[in-house]
Amino acid sequence: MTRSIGYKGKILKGTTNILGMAEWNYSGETRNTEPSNLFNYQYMIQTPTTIEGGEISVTGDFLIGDPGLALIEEAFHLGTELTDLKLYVDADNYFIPDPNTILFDGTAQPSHVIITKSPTAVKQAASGIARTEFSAKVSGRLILQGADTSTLICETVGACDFDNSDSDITVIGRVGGYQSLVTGSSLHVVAQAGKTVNGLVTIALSEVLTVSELLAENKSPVFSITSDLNEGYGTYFFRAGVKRVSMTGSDIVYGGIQTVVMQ
Amino acid sequence: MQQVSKAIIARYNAVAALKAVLTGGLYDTEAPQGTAYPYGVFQLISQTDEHTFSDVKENCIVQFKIYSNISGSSVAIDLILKQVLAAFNYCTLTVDDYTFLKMQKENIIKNKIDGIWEYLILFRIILAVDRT
Repeated sequence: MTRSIGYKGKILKGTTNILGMAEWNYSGETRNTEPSNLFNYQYMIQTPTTIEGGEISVTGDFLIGDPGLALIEEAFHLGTELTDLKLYVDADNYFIPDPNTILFDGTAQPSHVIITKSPTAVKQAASGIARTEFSAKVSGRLILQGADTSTLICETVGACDFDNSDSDITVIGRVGGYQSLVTGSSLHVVAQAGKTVNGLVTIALSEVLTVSELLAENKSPVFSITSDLNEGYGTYFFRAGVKRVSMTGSDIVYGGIQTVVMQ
Repeated sequence: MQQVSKAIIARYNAVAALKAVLTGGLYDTEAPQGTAYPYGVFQLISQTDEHTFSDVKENCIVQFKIYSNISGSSVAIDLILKQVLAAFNYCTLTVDDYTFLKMQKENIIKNKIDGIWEYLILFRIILAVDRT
């Protein structure tokens, strides 16, 4: 774990640095609840419902003619659903709208940001330097992304299946990181261990577990997921299969992988 | 900060009206022993940083002191003060390595000690340097 140093941060719209900004704040997502009043019950019961995206606020110096600020103002006027606003916590790690927010039905829908307060909000004083601010509202969620050489966040999004045909254990997950070929809202890839998928993600099985180990220790096989592309951003769904030595029936109850460290 | 000192001296030398009344010269922090009146010194008494993600602003307080030994009324040193303000208040300095943003008077104190008139003038200078 490392601390993030503030002066190394920045705010980008796509690849354009918004210059002069000095502070950003994201309020985070909040979970809405529905209260229930039950008979003969002393306490109000809260039932979790939807998750609401938070608000972003940014302040800094007002730099006349800054292209980044102009992009934000344009997005405000057009009501653009921004998917590429990046809030850097340090030189390498940033929050960005999750391009594959999962809906209840399992489909992916890009999160986005809408500018709700234009950077024409400017404050000036005779003895000061002009300051500006803008605000945005998140639909969906922001996710933290790292540099292409750092730890990536990878999570299992589906149950692990048992498949007798060509793969005994199938892990369905997704990995976020730098990629350059993503043009749509999501890219679904399917791979087996040791295969390269569309030249984007390589999944290699680095630890082979026997059936007895899997059963006895409830262990997860270890994957390494690598990418040789260094630009852009994408979240990729993958399916990794683990070939077993011998196994019968569906006698494995198995958990998924939680994190993957990029090599 | 050497760059600010250099810029202030250059400004003094460039403004003939100021040099005509502040005949003893303007010096960084300390005047040479025996300098003839009237003269002035300036000193960087504070320099603080203000960061954005893309640059750093140097917020400097520079204190000018001007001295005159002309006894009686303060007309002479008042005239020098007027020329100092004309030369430096809201001026544009050329500061090496930095983008100059402003120089603005913040405070003036008048004094007389042992027959020597003194003005103390505080200026705020703000500079910026790009970090990107």
